[in-house]
Amino acid sequence: MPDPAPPYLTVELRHRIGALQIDVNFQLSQPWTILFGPSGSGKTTILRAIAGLLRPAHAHISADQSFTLVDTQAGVFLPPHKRAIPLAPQQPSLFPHMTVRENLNYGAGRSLDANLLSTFRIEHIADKRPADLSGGEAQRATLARAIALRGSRLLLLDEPFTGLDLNLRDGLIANLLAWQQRHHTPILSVTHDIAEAFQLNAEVIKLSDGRIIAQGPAATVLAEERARLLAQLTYPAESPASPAPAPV
Amino acid sequence: MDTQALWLTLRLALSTTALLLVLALPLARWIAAGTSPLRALAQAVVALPLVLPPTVLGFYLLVALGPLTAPGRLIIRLLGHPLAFSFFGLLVGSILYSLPFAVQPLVSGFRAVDPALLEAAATLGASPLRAFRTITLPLAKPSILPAAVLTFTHTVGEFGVVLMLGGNIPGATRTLSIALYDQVQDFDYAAANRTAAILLAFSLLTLVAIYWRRSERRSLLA
Repeated sequence: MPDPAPPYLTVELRHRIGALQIDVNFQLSQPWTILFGPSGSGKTTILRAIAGLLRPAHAHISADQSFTLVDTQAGVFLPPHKRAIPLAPQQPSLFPHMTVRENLNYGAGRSLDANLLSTFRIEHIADKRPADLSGGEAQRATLARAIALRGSRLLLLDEPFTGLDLNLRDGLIANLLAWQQRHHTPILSVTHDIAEAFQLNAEVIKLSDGRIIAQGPAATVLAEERARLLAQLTYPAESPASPAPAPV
Repeated sequence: MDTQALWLTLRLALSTTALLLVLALPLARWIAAGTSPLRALAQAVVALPLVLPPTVLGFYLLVALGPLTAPGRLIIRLLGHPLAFSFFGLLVGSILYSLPFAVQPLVSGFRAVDPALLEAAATLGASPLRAFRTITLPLAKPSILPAAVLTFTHTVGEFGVVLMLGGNIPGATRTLSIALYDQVQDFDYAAANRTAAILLAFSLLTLVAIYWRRSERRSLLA
């Protein structure tokens, strides 16, 4: 049996946001990992702590086993611009005074991969300003901008496909997976969409109230959610009178 | 018309505006970046000239820049003469007196920039300085012009600080507003009328330019 891949990110994090106490401890070693959980379970806060956009109360976060990003005990906090960990937030945040191409160039410099524009289907809006884009176009451009960053260590995506129509989402997922195979940059994304988790065939970290309740392949960790969804989808056609029993 | 006073006034206003913008940009950026009590104190000190009689500021500067204080004595030793009653003394007074007119529009402009954009820039590898230069400054540009124009016009019209700190030395500290005061003292109302008309027209024109630019931008955004 081959040795498991070494972790590229180790996270120990304790932090309070309002009424929510986050207390998590996990390692990432798979190419794509999903933080799965309901709204308010702490997913975005974890991403922000990894990106360096918040100073956690207690944390030890390191990349590639030896590169410390945060160590609150030792007083280490690497600022976000030195981490090479881009975050594509849920709300598009394109720089309004730049065109889409200039936005992508911001982190990519002169080494912008021309294929990115077609991967995210934004060639036709490359020279437009954000004010002239639709919501979906702005979301795709924000995603492409994060991916365009040179030499990124890890890519953080906060609900990257929310609000996109299903055909577009499926196409983007396929393109992103192909892009990842070429560049080998690991991805940690956030979702509460079961279909998305299965489609990505990723490792899943299931969160509830700021704590991890399971970690593993989507088929194992989200088996219960999958069964519930299937039951909801099949019930009206098979048995209009009574709900189908939940599969074990 | 006292052309010497006019040129001196313009020189003082231009120098004050240029130097004040260099000082005000980092100061406003620091004030806008947080909400600590120290920042609130800095903002209050910056705003003081708005409520303080100009003669009070002029008096304190006269004392501070004179031989009674250590900085004053140092300046005298370095320059060979006190800063008071010289153009450079006037420049120091003007910079302090116009500080709120430069800093406050800039603070508002910087605070209006969406923090999510600065976070995005940081995760894309931009240092705080690069993010300031490439994101904050271009987006706060509409507040930089009013800051410059208000500083310039305010310096043109300044009187109390100039009188206390600079006196009335032709070619060195005699600005248009002092010349107007002198003309009235001499009952030369015709000359005073011309000087006052210049100051009035100048102030009105710059304000019209600012408001016109603002309304033009609003109609472009609508």
